[in-house]
Amino acid sequence: MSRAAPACLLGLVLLLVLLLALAPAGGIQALPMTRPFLPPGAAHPFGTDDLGRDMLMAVAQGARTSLLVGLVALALASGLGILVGVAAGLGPVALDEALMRATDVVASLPTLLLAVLVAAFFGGSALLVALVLGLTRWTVIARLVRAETLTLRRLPFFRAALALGCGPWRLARRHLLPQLGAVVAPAAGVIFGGAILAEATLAFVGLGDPERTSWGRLIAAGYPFLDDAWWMWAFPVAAICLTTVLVALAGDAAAREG
Amino acid sequence: MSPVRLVVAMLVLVLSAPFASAQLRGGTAVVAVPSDPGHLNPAITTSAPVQQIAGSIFNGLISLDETGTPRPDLAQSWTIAPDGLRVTFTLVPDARWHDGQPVTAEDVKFTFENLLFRFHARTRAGLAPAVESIDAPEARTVVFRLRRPHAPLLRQLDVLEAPILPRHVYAEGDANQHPANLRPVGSGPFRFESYRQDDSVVLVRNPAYFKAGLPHLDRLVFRVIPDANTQIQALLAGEVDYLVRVAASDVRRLQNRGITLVDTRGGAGGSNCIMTLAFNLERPTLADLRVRRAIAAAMDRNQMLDLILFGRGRVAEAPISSGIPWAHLPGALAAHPIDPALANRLLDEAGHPRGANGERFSIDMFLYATFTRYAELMRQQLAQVGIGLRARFVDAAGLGEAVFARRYFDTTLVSYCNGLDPAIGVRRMYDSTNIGSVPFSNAAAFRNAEVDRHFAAAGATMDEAVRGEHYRAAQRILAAELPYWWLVEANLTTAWRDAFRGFAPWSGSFAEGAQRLR
Amino acid sequence: MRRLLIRRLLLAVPTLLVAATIAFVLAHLAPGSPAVALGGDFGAPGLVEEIARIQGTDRPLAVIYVEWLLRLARGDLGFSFRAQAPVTALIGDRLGVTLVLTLSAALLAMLLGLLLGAATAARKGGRAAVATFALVQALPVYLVAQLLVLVFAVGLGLLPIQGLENPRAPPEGLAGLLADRARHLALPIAALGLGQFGFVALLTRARLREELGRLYVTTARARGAGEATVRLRHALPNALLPLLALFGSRVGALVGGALVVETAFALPGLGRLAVTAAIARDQPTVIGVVLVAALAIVLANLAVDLLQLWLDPRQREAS
Repeated sequence: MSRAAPACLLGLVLLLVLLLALAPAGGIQALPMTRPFLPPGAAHPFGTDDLGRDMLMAVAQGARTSLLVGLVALALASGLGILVGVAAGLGPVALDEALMRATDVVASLPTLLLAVLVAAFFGGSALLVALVLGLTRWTVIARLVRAETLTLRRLPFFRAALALGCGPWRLARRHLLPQLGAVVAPAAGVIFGGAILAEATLAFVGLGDPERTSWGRLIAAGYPFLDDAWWMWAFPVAAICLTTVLVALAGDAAAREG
Repeated sequence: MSPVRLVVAMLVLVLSAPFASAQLRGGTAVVAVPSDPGHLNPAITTSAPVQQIAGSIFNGLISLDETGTPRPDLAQSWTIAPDGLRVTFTLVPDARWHDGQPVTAEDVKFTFENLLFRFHARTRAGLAPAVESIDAPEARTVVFRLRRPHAPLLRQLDVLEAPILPRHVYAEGDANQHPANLRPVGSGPFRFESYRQDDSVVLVRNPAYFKAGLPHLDRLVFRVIPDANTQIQALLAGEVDYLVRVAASDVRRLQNRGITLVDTRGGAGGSNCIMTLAFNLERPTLADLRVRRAIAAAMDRNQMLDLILFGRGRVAEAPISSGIPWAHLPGALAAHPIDPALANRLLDEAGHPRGANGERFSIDMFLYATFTRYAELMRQQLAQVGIGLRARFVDAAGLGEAVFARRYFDTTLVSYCNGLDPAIGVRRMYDSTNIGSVPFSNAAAFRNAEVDRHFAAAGATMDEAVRGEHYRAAQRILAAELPYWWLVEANLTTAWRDAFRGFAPWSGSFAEGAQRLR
Repeated sequence: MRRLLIRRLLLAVPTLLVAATIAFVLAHLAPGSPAVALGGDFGAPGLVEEIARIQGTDRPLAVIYVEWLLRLARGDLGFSFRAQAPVTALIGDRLGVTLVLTLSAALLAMLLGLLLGAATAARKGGRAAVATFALVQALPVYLVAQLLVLVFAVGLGLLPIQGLENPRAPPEGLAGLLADRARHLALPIAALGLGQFGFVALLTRARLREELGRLYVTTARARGAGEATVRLRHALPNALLPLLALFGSRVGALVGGALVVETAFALPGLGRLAVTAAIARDQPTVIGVVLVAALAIVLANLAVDLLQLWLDPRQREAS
C-alpha cells in the first residue's frame, strides 16, 4: 500500500490539471452554443446540454469551482487548526484549556446546516460556503496538532533545547511543522472531499452558486433529462465520485504511512 | 363514418356526459404541492400553496371560468348600477359553513373589512382604495359602494382574490395568530379534516355543499413534495394524481404515459404571467435608452421559448399579456427585432467601448434560482455584444429587499403576472406612485405622467372599448421607453392521471367538479 | 465518571448558546424580513410595515435578542407566524421522523460497516474493497437516494417513491401502521445509512488490521483460537473504541444528510423545516432547529463518552 498514496495523489492532480487546462478562462459565458442534446460524439466527447453547451467544457469548469471550494475550506481549516493546536500544545495550561473548550464548542456546531442557512440567506456563493466549512471544520486538525505538539514537548531533546535557551515557538517551527503533513493528511482529505460534496449537496437543494458552474449544479440541471440525456448527469457524477474517491484513498494511504 | 353520423355520435357523447358523470361519485385524489402552506387562512396571505389548498375549502362571491368570465359562486346574481358606483350581490339561499351556520351578508362585510382589506396584499392594494363602503342591508344582500367606477371589480372577487371567511369564527381574536388558521371552517366543496405540516392536508367531501351534486370526490389530499423530480416519479407511479405545475423541461417525461397535460394561462399563484427583465432606471448606465434598446436587440427571445420553455408559451409581443386580448397591443414590440449589430452600434454611441477582454461593462441581475436557465442564456446572448451579466440568486424575501426596499440592483428577472385585468397586475409595474418599499411593484422606478394618466383613466371607467384605448396608448409609450424588456409568456402546465377528469386548473376551486373514473 | 458527565453538561450550555447566537445573527443579517416574505406578491402600500409591527420585528435587534434570550431561559423558542404555531410544537412534530431516520441509518451504517470492514480486513488484497467503500462514501446522498428509488421503487415497484404513508389507504391498527411506516422509510434510511456506511467500513478495516498485527492476537492464534473468534472476540472490541469516538463526530453529517433525504423523499422532518423556515425568514424557527441540531451533537458525544467508559476498563478505572 505504500505506493498507493502518491499514485492516488498523482492521479488526482493529473485529472484536475487536465480538466483545468480544458476549462475556458472566462467562466460559463465563454462556452459556445451549438445544438442542444447532442449525445457524446467526436465533436463533443461528453455531448451537449439543453442549451447546446459542450458538457466536457462544463465539467471542466465544474472542476474549477469544486477545487476552489475544497482548497479554500482546506486552507482555512488547516491554518486555523494548526494555529490553535500549536498554541494549545505549547502555551500555558490556561490557554490550552480555553482553546480546547472553544474547540469542543465549535466541533458541536451543525456545520452543514449552517452552510445551508448561509447559502439560503446570502445567495449560495461557492466561496461563502467554503468559508463556512473552513471556519467550522478546523477542530479535527486542531486536536491532532495539539496531541502531536504535546508528544513533542515530552521528548528529551525538546526539553534540552528549551534549557539551552531555544524559544518554544522556534522549536515548533523547526521540529513540529515538518512532521505535521503526515498527521494532518487524512483529516485534510476528509475536509477537502467533504467540502466538494457539501457544495454539490447545496446545489441539489437549489442553493448553488449562480456565477460558477459546479458539478453539483450540473447534476441538478441534468435531472429533468434523466431518461433521455444521460450524459448531462453521468459525467459530472463520475467527476465527483472519481475526485472524492481519489482524495479518500490518498488520505487513507497517507495515514498508513504516517 | 359519414359526416352526419359523426355529428350524431358526437352529440350523443356530449349529451350523455352529464348523465355518466352523475354516477361517478367517490374516490380520493392526491395532489402534489411543492411547498408547505404553513397555515390555511387565504384571507391573510397571497402565498400560492395556501391559495392552492384553501381554494377548495372556501368560496368567493363569484367564480371565474376558463375565459375569466364571472360565474355565480356564493353570489347567485349581481347588478351594477348605471353610474358604476353601486354593485349589489344576492347570496345563494342555502350556503352553510362547515359547522352548520348559514353564510350571510354579514360574513362578507366582515371578511372584506377586517381581513382582506387589511392583510390580503392584492385585494388591499387593488380593491380597497376603490371601495367606499360595504353594506349588508339584508341577510342575503351585499352592497359595494365605490368611490369611482371600478371595472376589474368582478374579477377580484373569486376565491383566490377574495375568499369569504366566517365572521362567527374570526370575530374573536387576532387573525394573524388565530387557531382557525390551522383548522379552517369554510363553505366550500371540501371540509378540512387534518393537516400535518410539511406532509399533507386532508380534505373530505362536504355533503351539504350548496351546489347540488358537487363535489364528486370523497377525499382530496394535498401532499407536500418539494423536489420536482420526485413529483414526476410519484405521478407516473400513481402515488400522486395531480401536479399543480410541471416545468416545461419535464413535460416530455409525462407525454404518452397515461397523463393528461393541460396548458393554462393561470390559476392559484397568478395568471397571464410575462417573464420580464426590469431595468433599474436610477442607475446611470441603464437610464440611457440606447443601452436598454441595445440589451433588447441583443436578446434572442425565440431561443428562450425553444430551449427553456420547449415551445410551451410565446414570445411577448407587448407589455400587456396576449391573454387579455381587449387590452393587448399586438406587435407593440415589433420595433425591437433581434439585431446584435444594432446593439453594438448603440453601445458604442452611448460611450461604452469594449475593454481589453471584449467587455464593455457588466450589470447584475437578481433572480430566483428556479429561473437559472434564463440567466445562463441571457449571459451568453449579452456576452456577444460585450455586456457582462452577473447573476444573483435571491428568494422572495431577498428580492423584496434588494429590488424594492433598498434598490441596490441593476436589473432583475421577475415573472410579472398581469392577472385577468390590467388594473390588477399591470398598473403596479408602471405607476409612478408605486416606487419604493412595496414588494413586486414598479421595479424599474419608471415615471411617466402620460402613462400614469392612461392607467388612471382606464381604471376609472367601465367601458371596455375606452379602457382598451387607454391601455394601448400606454403600451405604445412603454414600447418606446423600454423601462422593462418583456421576454416570454410562459404557459402554465398542469398534469393529472387519465383516471380523472373534470379538473379546472385555471380556477381556485380546481377539484369542485373533478371525477374519478372506474 | 461523574466528573466527565458534569464537565460535558457544563460545556453544553455555552455550546448551545453559541450555536443559537450564530443562527440568530445569520437569520437577522439576512436580506429581507419575515414581513417581506409574508407580505405577498402584489404591491400593497403599508402592508409590510403593518406585518412587521404585528410580529414585533420592527424593533431594534438588541431588544429582540435580549427578549429572545429571556424566553429561551424559560424553554420558550418563540412563535412562528409562517406556521401559526409555537416553534417548540413545530420541532416536536418533526422530531420523530428525523430521529427514526438518523438513528436507524446510523445503526445500519454501524452494522454493515463493522461487518464488511471486519470481513475485508484480511492481510492480502482488499484494495478493491477499500475502493468500493471509498466510492460509497464519496457518492452524494441525493444520488444514492435517486439510484435506490430508480431500482426499488420505479424499476421493481417494491417500495413507495415518497412520503410517510399512503394517503389512499391509511394503515389500520398498530401493526399495520408500523409495517406501513417501515415500507415508506426503508429507502430513506438505506440512502442515509449507505452514505455513512463507507466511512465506518473503511475505519473498521484500518483499525482491525492494526489490531491484528498486535501481540495478543498472535497469542490468541497460538492458543488455537479460530480466525472468526480472533477477529470478533479479541480484535474487534479493541478496534471499536477509537471508532466510537469518531462516530460521535459524524452526527453533524448525519443531520445534514437527513436534510437531503427528507427533501428527496418528501418527509416531514427537521431538515425540511430548516429550509422552509429559512426561505420565509422565519427567524425563531431557524434558530430553534439549529439549537436542536447542536443539542443532538452534544448528546451524541455524551453518549459516546459514556459508552467508551463502559466498554473500556482502563478508562473506567482511571476515572
